[in-house]
Amino acid sequence: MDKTDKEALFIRILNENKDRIYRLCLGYLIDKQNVDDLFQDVMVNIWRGLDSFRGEAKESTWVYRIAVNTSLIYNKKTKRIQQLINQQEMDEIIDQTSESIETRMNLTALRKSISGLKKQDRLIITLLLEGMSYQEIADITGISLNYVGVKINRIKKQLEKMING
Amino acid sequence: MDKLDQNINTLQKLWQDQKLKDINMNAVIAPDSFIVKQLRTFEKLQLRINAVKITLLAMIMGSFTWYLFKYSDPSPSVLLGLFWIGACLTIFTILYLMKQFKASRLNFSLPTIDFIDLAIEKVQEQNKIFRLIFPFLVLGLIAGLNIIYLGLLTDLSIGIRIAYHLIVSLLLIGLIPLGFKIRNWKFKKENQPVIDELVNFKNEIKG
Repeated sequence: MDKTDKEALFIRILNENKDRIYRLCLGYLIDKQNVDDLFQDVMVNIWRGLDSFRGEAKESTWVYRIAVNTSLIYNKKTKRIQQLINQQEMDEIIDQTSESIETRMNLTALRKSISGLKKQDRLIITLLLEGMSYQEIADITGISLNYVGVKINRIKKQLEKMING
Repeated sequence: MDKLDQNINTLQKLWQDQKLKDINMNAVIAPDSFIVKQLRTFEKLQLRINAVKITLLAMIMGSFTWYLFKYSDPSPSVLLGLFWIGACLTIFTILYLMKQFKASRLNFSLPTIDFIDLAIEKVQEQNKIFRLIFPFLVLGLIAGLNIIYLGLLTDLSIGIRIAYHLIVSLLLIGLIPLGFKIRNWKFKKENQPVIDELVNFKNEIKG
């Protein structure tokens, strides 16, 4: 792949996936500065991985794997993970002009609940919220399909309890 | 569809519909955009760091050679010793950088469980590289310095010459455990927590 092709492919992948990647970073980390840094790291790893991308996996699976694995390593770099978010931080990320107050409150509640989950559960629930199937989550994480089902059921119940409680 | 699934569908919609103001990057995503330029710079960064390391090593080696030439009339044995040390340092540097480069390249596109295994293996490999190569470097340096001493100390008595050879050899041999100790300390401080957390993550994700 020559330089121009690589850049064109990178820009296409980035355009198609940037929202999803950012939301995944958002689900895994809490504060804005870390989310931005993690997003940059994912971009760098996608760029570096393009030379070896042979299309064996679905492109979205490939991108998500990079995002999930980068999150894992990123977490090792930062010791500072806030467990709770406040409205001000949420406002820094959510486009207030296009969200109703109710939606913003619901999103804050959802993100607060996600932040209360274990790290690996945060990643899995974020993939589920992105609309990924159990099979896709199994392909990304490498855990068995059955166990993905078990795990997701457990996380769903926990999340529901947190949101309602 | 049960209530739990219905709730998840609502949450999925809420999650996916959130509008994020920080990623409206259309303006910067162009072939000559800032992000692409940044990525190009990043690719060159590691090369620059290694270039600085190699330059520093060459400067040390150059100063040592200059010092020897300035204050003595180097005999063939001194020249051979210098050449030997230079060769050892060059081989060590090349091997170390090559292996380190290989070990630091993680394949982020693997499934997470495989990625964790690979990451742990690579982190441990970084430590092994040093343990494997460092003793050979020290032995090479001992040989080189002893060859230099053979040419430098010709005016001294045999007893003093032997003492010089022994002292320099023993001092350098002492570098091996010292180097390992420093490396282990650095590894425990920097890498062991990473390994522990990755193992922990893997165990928890696998249940």
